[in-house]
Amino acid sequence: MGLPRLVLLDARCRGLDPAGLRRWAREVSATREGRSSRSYRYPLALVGWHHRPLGVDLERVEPCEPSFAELICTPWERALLAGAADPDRFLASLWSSKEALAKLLGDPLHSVPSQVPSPLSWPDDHHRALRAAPVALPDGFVGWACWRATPPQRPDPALVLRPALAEAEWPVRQPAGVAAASTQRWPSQRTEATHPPPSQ
Amino acid sequence: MLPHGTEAVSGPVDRRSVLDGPPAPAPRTLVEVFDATRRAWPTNVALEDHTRCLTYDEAWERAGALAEELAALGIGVGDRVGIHVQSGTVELYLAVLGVLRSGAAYVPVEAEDPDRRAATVFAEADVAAVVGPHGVRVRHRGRGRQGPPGIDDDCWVIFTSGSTGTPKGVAVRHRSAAAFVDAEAHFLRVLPTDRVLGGLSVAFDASCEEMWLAWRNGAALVACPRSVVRAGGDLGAWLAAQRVSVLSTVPSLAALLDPEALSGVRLVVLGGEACPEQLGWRLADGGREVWNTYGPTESTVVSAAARVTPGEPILIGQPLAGERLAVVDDAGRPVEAGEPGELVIAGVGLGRYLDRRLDAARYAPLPSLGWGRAYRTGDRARLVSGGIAFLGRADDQVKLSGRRIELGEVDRHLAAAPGVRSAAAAVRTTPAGNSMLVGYVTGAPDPDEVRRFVAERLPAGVVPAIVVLDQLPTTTAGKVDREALPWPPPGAEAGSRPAGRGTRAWLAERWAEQLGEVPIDDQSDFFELGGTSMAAAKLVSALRARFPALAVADLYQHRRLGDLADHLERLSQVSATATDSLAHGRRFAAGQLAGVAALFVLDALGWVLAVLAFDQLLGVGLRVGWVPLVLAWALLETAPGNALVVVGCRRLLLRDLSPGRYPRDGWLAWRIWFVERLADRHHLEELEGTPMAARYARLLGVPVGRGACLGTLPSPACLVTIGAGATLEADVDLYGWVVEGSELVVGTIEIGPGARVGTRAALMPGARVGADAEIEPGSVVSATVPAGERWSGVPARPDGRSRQGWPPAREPAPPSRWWSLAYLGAMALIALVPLVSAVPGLVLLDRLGGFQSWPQAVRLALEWSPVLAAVFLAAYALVVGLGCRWVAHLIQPGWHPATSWTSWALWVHGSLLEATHVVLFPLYSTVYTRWWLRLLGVRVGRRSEVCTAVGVSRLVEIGETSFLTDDVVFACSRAGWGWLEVRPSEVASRSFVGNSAILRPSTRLGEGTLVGVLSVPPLRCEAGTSWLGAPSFELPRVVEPADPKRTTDPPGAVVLARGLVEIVRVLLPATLSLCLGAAVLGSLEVLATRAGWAGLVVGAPVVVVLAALAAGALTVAAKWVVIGRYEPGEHPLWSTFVWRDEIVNSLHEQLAGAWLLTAALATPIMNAYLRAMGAAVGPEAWVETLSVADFALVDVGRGVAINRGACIETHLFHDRLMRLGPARLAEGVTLGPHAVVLLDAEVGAGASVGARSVVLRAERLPAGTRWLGIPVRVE
Repeated sequence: MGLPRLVLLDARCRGLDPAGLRRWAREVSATREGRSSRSYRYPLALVGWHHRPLGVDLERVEPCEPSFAELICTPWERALLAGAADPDRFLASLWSSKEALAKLLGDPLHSVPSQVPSPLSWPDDHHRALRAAPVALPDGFVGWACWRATPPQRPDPALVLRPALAEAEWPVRQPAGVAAASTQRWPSQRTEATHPPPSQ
Repeated sequence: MLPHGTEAVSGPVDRRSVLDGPPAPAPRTLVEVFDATRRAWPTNVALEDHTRCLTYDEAWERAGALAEELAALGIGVGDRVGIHVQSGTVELYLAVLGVLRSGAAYVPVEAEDPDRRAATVFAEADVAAVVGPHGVRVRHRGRGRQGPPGIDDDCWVIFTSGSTGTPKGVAVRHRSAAAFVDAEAHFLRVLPTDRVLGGLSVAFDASCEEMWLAWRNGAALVACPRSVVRAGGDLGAWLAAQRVSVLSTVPSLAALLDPEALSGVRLVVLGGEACPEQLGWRLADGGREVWNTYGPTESTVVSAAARVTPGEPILIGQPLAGERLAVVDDAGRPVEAGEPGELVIAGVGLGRYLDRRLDAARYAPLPSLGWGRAYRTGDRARLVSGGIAFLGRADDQVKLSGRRIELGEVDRHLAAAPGVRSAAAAVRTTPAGNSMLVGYVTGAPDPDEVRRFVAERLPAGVVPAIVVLDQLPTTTAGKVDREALPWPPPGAEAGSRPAGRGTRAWLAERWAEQLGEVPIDDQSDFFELGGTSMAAAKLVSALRARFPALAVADLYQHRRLGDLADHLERLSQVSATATDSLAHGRRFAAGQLAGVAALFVLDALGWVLAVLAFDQLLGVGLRVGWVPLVLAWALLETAPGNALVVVGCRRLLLRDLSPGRYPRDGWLAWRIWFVERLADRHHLEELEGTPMAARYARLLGVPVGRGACLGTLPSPACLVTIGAGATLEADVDLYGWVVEGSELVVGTIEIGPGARVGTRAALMPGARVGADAEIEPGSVVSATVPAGERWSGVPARPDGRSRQGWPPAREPAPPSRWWSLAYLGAMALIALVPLVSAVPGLVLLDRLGGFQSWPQAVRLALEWSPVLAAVFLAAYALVVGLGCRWVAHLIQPGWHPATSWTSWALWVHGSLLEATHVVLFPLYSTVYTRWWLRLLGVRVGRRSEVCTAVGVSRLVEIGETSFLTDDVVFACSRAGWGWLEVRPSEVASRSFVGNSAILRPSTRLGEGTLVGVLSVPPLRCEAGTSWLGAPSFELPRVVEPADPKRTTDPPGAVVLARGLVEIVRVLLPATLSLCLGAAVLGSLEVLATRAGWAGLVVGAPVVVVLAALAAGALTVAAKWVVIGRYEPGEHPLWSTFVWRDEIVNSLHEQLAGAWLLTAALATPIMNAYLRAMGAAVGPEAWVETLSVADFALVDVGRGVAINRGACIETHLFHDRLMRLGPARLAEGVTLGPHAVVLLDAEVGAGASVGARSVVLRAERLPAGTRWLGIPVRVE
């Protein structure tokens, strides 16, 4: 129960249009207990649910102007950006982390994104009772999940992306338990682990 | 419980698709329905919006007033009255009730609909009058009969969009409406404790369901602004915040709501559109009661309903009581059960069309069933087990956002537009999955013109996007084939964006960069077109190139292209506003210098008194006798005497004070400035919270009602009215004037009878607090707070009903002389504290031989000044500490009468501590602070750091290694309605509380909590959480690692070093003050001896001014010697830089502040002093605050106005690391009262930051913008 469950949906597997993908994602989240959060970037949708509050976000990696970085980065994040190998991917992931956190917290500061420090800066992926982790996604996409941990508060080692639906929901067949094998490398010390899907 | 039994289906019709509901409820009118509810629950809330809250009795009464107004116009039963009021407001619903009470039928039109549509509807319905936002507008005199309506009189006429292109008016009788309301009440269990969402447009008949679900059952109807309903995503948070428990809405809106948002909703009624099964099941999951309803406007809102059960098909179910349903074939014969056909409705709910011909066609008899009148719905349905199943529309009617639109009507308007040859409309799905109306046209039209043309003729929100085609696709029969209309449209990028060079065209290009090639027009919604939050942020970052003032939030508030373009144009106009220069700046400055001199003359009188007293005591020099001396002392040095001086000055100078905007370098500005400075120098705070406060206020000319408790004195320049029984807690900003740029704004403030204003709330000019209303601590009010409501936050927003959580009001105790004497006695004792504390020093001086002669006394005082200062401070701390400890025993947690020994003890405690913030200021923020606080009875953990804290007492507990910055307020009590509540507060270990944060009674901050600047945290903060804002929200922050030996766990040698440095820090300001005092007394004595009275009178002000200037010069010199120039950087708490910085702060506050600056705030002297300290201060700046530190890091531009109590906070102490950074206020910036600008922030030219607002670290506020809030948002 300590980790949220995530499912990635690909509209191409069912030949759905954007509206169809949204409906599918709503259906998926409606079938699970607990609180849910959804994010869409056609043709993908990321659905997460957890027994405590959570926020998930999914973004497509796109070219970003320096003005966008200026708008969303704290000074510390700007320093990280300067050293990023792929600035567009970094910025998309940074935004995604802030958005997931904002969804978790009820979007307190969407007017001033540069005032919301990204979970990137959290040591060991956690901030007190809050947890955050990047989600492993197909190339060209980045995503984050943030959630409130169950007391007693221990740092969760990593996030399990659970192929709970059929493998056919993935755009490409993936080996079971591909989970959090993220390709992202952050300047901070981030532990990443691969977990088999927990049994029901 | 099902709404109706299956026994209704019986006999020979069993096999046919016919269903009869149970017998109709007893007939009555809607007015009787409301009246019955009112009688049952008169004090329940009937109506609420974001500004007001009305009980059933109040709503009934207000509706009655409108009914009387209408009756006076001759309007009554049989008449019709239009309603054209903004949705989401109490006024709208009151208008509905008022018209019903008058006996007339109401005819609603959405306020956002084009005027032409409103005119058409009102003309069609022949309304006698229209209730609008500005009252009743008469069209013709009423012809109706006066009195209550009967059951067969019309109650409303609602217009639907018609297939002929003309809106169709449907009239509904009271009998039908009340039957619908009563029938629903049989199966929808709404409780008097429920809160029902009022979110639908009142021109949409489903709104009647919302209203009467609440009003039939004694529940509250909570009106939701249209902007929130439209935003969809924001509605969830709104529902949760408003604790809505019953929701009647359209499925497409419900689909936007997350389960979290609906967690408090126990009953959902869906209708208006076909309900997708997955949605219905999801909503019903977990046992929530969900009903699917069906009914056209023509048969009174709802004709059938079915409970939604997860996993089972969703039906429109069975008829309501009094309703009859049948599925018929083209010939009007009932089809066999299970066969599809057209649904027809008969029964009590049938309305009628105003158009008689249409009425005859659509409500024709149904001979096959023997029904004399039946409505053909045009919907296809079939009878299945469990009731009727909906199959779809038979014609081209479509539903968009729950609103029924006849595509035929849209077609007709499109085709009539200039340049259009043929046209067809269709509903299409955007890339984001939203439905939108698209108008396809052929010919050579201008799409913008077509859109405007159609917009003027259709209801708001259904204006189509325009796509120009060469020809329309047709079916084989030659009809337009709507299905074949292309989507996405061909050549979208070329023809479907606003063209030209204007803001719209430029903006549309920026949209297309983020959204791709989608049709964009004025009405396009960024998010509906597929815009994601990241796309929104990227768009804003691109738009900032031309409009630097734009915030991300703006895009969420202005989602449509046209709205956003208008907003951008407004921003550019604001940015272009030039900063006015002061017309009479030099003359005003000279006036201020004269004013400061006058204040020093008053100060000098006190010194002269001291010299005369000394002479009298020693029997030397000038002797006037004790009686005149005591009288003069009573006038000049006691609170009542000082109050008389201030009152006299106010009455003399501000007799003609009136609201308005004045130049801040004018005569009125000078007078206000002078009177405020005079009051400030006379320290009248002692009167606050005593029975004398109201008397003082009345002497000032402030109307104060009987029994009002004033914990804050009104400013002498304040135009305030205080109602009977009102309560003002401590430190309320009650000035009624503020400096904005080059202007002085003066406004009235009204505090209604029985209102309660919490500690540190700011009532800005123009604020109105209604009777019995409640303002929470730390809120900023600049609008009208309606009676009986509770508001909180910056800016203040409605937060519920007042008095919640308070015992029933106590009658105010009659004024008692004994209580006044108790306060006066305590006041006298407190006034003696400095004298008593000086006794050990005087004894020491005497032992040293100091009282033998004047020169000897002065010489010894100068030589022994550090020792004398130490003795005085120790004695002072001891006397105050013991006094506080003793009086604290009378302060027990719990509820107490407002006039009681507890309130007296709280006042004594507060008054004793108040003085320590001046005299013992250097004792705070030191290693000795903990000892001092423990002397006061506060439980303080080891290694905790406390800067100045307000309201500390034995009710406060501060955990280990906690850090409390300057001016943290422990509001351990609250007062109102004859009561005083006292509760402890606790700050657990490792917590950090920012400047001027307010901890309300019973606050408990868990371990490691962080509370931001000016924030008001929740009463319970979980361990490890961070909070910012008022009301505050959680905001995670990262703890930056630092060397514990320099932050939390220093070695003994470092502790010792700091202890020694801080001895210097504690003694230096007092020693220098003592030296200056001795020098002044010595000089005056010399003058008196050599030049007699003339020398004393003329010389005393000169000597005092010189001493004040010397205090300023000493502080400046000490700053440059001890610190040098401030530079950005980081210094751990246990470093010499921080300790040295505190020495400078102490001198700034206690030496320069006490001797010079409090008289010179907002004058050129203050600016010169700041420049001498290293700050960059432009000419004509108005700096009315001492809260400026780290001077070289402060850059204040020309003409900047920094209002009272505002703070430029160029350092922060998070994680026990002092971080220094620059802060810049460009030319013409205004900082409102008590606002805070943090380090690395920059406020652009002419920008304005409101009261008690916080500009966060590294924030950039663009020029010409107005900001308010914690953190600031665009105002």
